[in-house]
Amino acid sequence: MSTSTNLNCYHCGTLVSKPDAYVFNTHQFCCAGCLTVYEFLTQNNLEAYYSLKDKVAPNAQREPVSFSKDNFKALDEDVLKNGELCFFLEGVHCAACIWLVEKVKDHVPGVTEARLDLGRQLAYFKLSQAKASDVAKVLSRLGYTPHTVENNQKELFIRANRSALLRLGIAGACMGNIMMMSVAIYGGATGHIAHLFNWVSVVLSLPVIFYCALPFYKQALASFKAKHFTIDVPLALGIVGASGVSFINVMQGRDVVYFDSIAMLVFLILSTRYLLQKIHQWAQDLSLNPWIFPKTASVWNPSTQSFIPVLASKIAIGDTVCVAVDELIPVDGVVIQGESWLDVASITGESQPQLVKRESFVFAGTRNTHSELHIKAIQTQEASRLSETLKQAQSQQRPALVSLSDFWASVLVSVVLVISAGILIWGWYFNAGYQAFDRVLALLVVTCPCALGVAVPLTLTLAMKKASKHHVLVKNPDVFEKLTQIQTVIVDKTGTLTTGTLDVKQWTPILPHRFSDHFILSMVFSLEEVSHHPIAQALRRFCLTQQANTIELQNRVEKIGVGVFADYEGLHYALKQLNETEESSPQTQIALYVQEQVVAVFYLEDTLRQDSKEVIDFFKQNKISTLLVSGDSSGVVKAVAKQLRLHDWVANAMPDDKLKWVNANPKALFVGDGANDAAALKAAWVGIAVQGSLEMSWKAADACLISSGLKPIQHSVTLSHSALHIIKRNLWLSVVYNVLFGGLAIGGYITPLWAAVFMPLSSLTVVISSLMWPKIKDVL
Amino acid sequence: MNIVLLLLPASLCLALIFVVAFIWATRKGQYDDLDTPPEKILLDDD
Repeated sequence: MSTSTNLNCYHCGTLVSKPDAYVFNTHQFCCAGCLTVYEFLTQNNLEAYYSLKDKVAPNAQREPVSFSKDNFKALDEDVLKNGELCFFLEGVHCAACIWLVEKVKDHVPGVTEARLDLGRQLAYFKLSQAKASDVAKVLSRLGYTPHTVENNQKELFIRANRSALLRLGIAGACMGNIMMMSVAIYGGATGHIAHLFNWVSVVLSLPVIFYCALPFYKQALASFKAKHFTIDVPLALGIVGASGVSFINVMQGRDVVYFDSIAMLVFLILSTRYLLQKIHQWAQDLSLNPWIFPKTASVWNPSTQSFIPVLASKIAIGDTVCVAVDELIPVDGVVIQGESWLDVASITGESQPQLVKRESFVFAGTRNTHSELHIKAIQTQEASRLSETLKQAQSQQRPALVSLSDFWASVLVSVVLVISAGILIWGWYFNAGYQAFDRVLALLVVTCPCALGVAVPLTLTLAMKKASKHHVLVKNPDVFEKLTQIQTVIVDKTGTLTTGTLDVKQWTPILPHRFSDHFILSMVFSLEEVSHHPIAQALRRFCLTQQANTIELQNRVEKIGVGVFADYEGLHYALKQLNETEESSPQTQIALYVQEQVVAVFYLEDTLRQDSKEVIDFFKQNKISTLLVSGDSSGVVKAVAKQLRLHDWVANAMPDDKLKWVNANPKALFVGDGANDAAALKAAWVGIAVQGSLEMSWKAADACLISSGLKPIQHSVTLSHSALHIIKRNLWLSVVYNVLFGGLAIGGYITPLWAAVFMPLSSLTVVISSLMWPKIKDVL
Repeated sequence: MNIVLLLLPASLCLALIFVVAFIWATRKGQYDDLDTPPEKILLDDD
């Protein structure tokens, strides 16, 4: 038997925990899943994948393949639109995957096109006769788990992107060419040439005014109707006014035109909006990942006397559903056959798995970890507890917040509009209409609130990008502003401060002379070899790091809820919970018994994340109070709170209690995961979902972490302060500039032409200011 | 300066060609996915 410990799986590269268990063509594999994929690839002459992936992406992170037992038949129920099929693929990581996915075309007859969008992890297929389930089956054989996605949303995104890009590109082209004309005129061209150039500018500005700038008019109109002035109002007025006057001037043979400034303004603002749109979509793409509910389920069909695949959303009350190991429970129900352990962390937040047997209630969204269960549906998926929580999370009202830039923009806009109207009345009264119009135009052009229209979105976009580099996906840029104002941090325990998986902290041999350490560990390893229980997995992991071997055992029995028992060389061995465990102990204590005598005790604990302490200290240094609210028992919660020196802690908290705590602290940052936290994430001033959370947390949260650990939260708080610093600086620049030049324009000291020169200069200043990020080290 | 009368339409025509090419490419979906093609170039055709 090989005892080499540094063996990596040939397919996914993870450490092989059981050497020689899965071997094919002399290659070692970590699990049956990876082995099956390898077999499939070799059978279909696709083994080039392996050399390819080593060549193009040797360091890409991969995960072991876990097969869903789904046969995807239920997919065929949905009618395909023009034979097009789109899947979100779990498990794609590099260029080699592009190659593999596009090979599907050659291996499934009836597929005419296969394409993978690596960035979004979306695979597109065009089918002539092939069935959706055939494609899904092959994808799953290749080691990717296909999830269906809402095709409509994808199409909407693509259409929105294309039209935004068209507007942007055309505005850019027109701007460049108009500039060429303007340079000649600024350079002193007069007479016929100037006149000709002006007419060319008129023609070139038509697409900008009537096509590229359309979104501004629409939004200006909408903001008028909503009686909340956004910067689109002066933008639209400026564009319409300036182009109108320019056109009249050209008609009358005067050389005062502003087409270049209009085109530049439109182009600049369109480009920042395009960037923002892209980032928003990218964030939304992630929420498409459909993990919470299983898409299909096996339901008993009385007429065929067998389990058949059915879309989980179509399960009716009273149906009998078969849930295999490692599958999610599709609906709320009652167990009618089998007993097993359920991972209920997504519902209650408890780290310990829950034992279920006949008559036990089970909830949708929990995971079956041990053995097959048959359940009778007592609710449809739509009405399940998880769905209800989700609906509650979505309907929670956010605290109303008029953000800084919105507020100032509307103030500026209102002031400018009022002054403009004043000037026009003045002009009409004193019969100086033309002069008044010139001043109004200069004012509108010169005060176009670029610091708000360009610089604030640009700063926020950059902040979002920087945040994503620190592994924080921000859904809504308002978060940055709010993060600078938090007073309390409320954290969840399981999966947030801790990793959410049990680990062996330490172990003590009680009778050290009778058995060697190596024997004890090998015995534990062999006893737990096939169990799915998290405690078994933790023990197995631990024993492996201590070079444990497999021992051949006799009469191995696993009693659910009790322990594992086996015989070896005439002695009876048992691995179960230590009899005299204290109730309030924060640790789970598992003992190895020989003939009912304790030989060794293992202490298991949900490990704290490495950076939890540092991040909590960071908040404490900044005088933000820290509160731990967890659904776990008081012993565990207290231990964690003590270890991290949190200000306060609450144990045994149900989702409603968490919501209460969040509501009691108006400026609270809530950090959590899991479905049970969704309502709290949504209700909190700022809600951040940690990695590994369900889709729902992401829907409810303002931001989401995509790496393990809490360090990114600290980064995003400091980042927010930098961003707010820049925004305030830009606002000051803009206030000074607008008051100064606005005043000059009202006084008639600036002609619209000069206004058009100053406006881009001021934009440039704020853009440069937005790009200069101050180095703020962990200071609030 | 009469040369301007020739150069101006010529340069505008050139610009128009590029704009039309850009519109065509956008409509065809050339800019829909900017992540995959740069990776794909690493793959050999077989």
